Amino acid sequence: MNTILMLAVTSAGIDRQATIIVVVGYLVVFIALVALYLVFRYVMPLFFKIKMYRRAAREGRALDDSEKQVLTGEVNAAIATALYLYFDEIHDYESNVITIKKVSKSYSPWNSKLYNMRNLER
Amino acid sequence: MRRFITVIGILVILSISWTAFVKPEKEKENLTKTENAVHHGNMMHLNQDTDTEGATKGLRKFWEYSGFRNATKGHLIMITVGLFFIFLAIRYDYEPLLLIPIGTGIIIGNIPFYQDGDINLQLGIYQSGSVLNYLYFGVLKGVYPPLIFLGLGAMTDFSSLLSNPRLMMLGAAAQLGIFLTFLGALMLGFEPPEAGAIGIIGGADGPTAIFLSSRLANGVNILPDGTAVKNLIGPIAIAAYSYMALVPVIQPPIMRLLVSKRERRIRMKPPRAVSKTEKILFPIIGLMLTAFISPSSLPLLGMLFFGNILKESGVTKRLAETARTSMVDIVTILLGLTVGASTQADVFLTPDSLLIFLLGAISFMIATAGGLIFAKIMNLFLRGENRINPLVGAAGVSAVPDSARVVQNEGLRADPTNHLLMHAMTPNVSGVIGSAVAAGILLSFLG
Repeated sequence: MNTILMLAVTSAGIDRQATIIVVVGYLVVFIALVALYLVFRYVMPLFFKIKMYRRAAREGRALDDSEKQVLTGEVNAAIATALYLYFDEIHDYESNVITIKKVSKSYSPWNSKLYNMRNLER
Repeated sequence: MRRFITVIGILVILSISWTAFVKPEKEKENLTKTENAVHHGNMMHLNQDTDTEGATKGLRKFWEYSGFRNATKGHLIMITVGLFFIFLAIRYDYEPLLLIPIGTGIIIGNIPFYQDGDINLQLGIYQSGSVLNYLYFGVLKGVYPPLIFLGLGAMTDFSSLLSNPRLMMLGAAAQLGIFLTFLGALMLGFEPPEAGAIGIIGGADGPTAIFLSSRLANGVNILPDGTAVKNLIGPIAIAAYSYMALVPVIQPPIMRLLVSKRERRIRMKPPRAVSKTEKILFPIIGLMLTAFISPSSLPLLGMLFFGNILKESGVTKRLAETARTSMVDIVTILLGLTVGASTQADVFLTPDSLLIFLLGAISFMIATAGGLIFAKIMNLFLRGENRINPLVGAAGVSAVPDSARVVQNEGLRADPTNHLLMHAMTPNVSGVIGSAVAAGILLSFLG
């Protein structure tokens, strides 16, 4: 792919340095993310496996396959929803006030109709 | 009251349009005539009260300093653009957190005022000593973007990425837009540092675009031929943020064009649960790996992963909370406002800006296509439930979380029970990492 890109770019009259920047730059972006992928796809599981074996060895027992936690997304979502609903229902404090709050209308003589009327002398 | 407002509004619009379309020469001529008349009048009425003359002079000076007197077509065009941004944000909910500050900033930056050679009223963003100029320092020196990245890191949950790291490659593939736009900009005659700054628009990441353009196309750096690079921070930032807001408009047609209906219905394996240790280790390992590969991207990636460590460590909740709420809000306000204000008509309305907008649109399309095509290529080597829904590739354009949302919507359109959001978040956040690495590489080559 990079060879094709190199050819296309060279034929378009772009100088050599720009071509190098494009090819090297795109490759480095890939290398950075592929390195991250490799670490988290292969190195991390290996690290956790070793950790599990060492713990099992320390406790003097053989590693059982059932120890591996297999939690699918659905199970996780179900647990999270259940926890959310449970905590949502808990009330630490109840006010015990059952009366309806009194709604007071703001009153001032300045908005009274009476004061807007002209007091005509009779 | 409404009629009164309408009449006043019409009067204001009429006066603005009158000032905009009267030719400066004609105005100058009129002014000379008035001056002559005033002078002549003065000669004729030497005995008149001098207070009246002073008042006339004062009024004339006030008029000369007012925005109505100094308005040009450019100012009015830019104010209209600012109003349009605000309209888009409020009416269509397109990235309101960005478009409202930027739109208001455009209006603030384009309020006309008296500008004549050496006179510095300390008002405009480019006038030293003005408040806006001080705030603009954060853009010029690239202070705001890393702070935004800190907040972004404290907000981002990388568990989707950790559960299916294979999709990270799509984030890399979508960076094709950056490099091809770089070439495009070179072909259109931009200098290499300017082309690099323009290319980063394809990364679909506003802070990264501002960071790189403040380093490469800041109007200060000197080119090998002795000339200074152009100041393209304003156009690049506006183009990047505009297209980020327009991701729901730009991406779907390309997605429908490149991905068949059958492919759009592919169901992906649900993501696995990720342990806390993995979440803590990711920012540490990620920081070291990426920074060792591309040290120039350290200001951005360092802050991104630092923010994520604050979040995932679990012992710095207060710091993480501040980073992802108050701090990122403050920086967003300052960044949006100053970037908007930097689009002063005389700096912004140039043919270069038009080219940058054109290249920006193309780079977004290339980036989207790059991600989609790479996902299709990956599918050639994958079987069964490991296959990828190619739509997910479009999320490699790192407009977080908009492009992932677009993928989700397109997926639902093809199959209302197929939710792709979680899968799309992986290329989306890895796209952020990828574009920051790309910015670092361009900086190390061209800086």
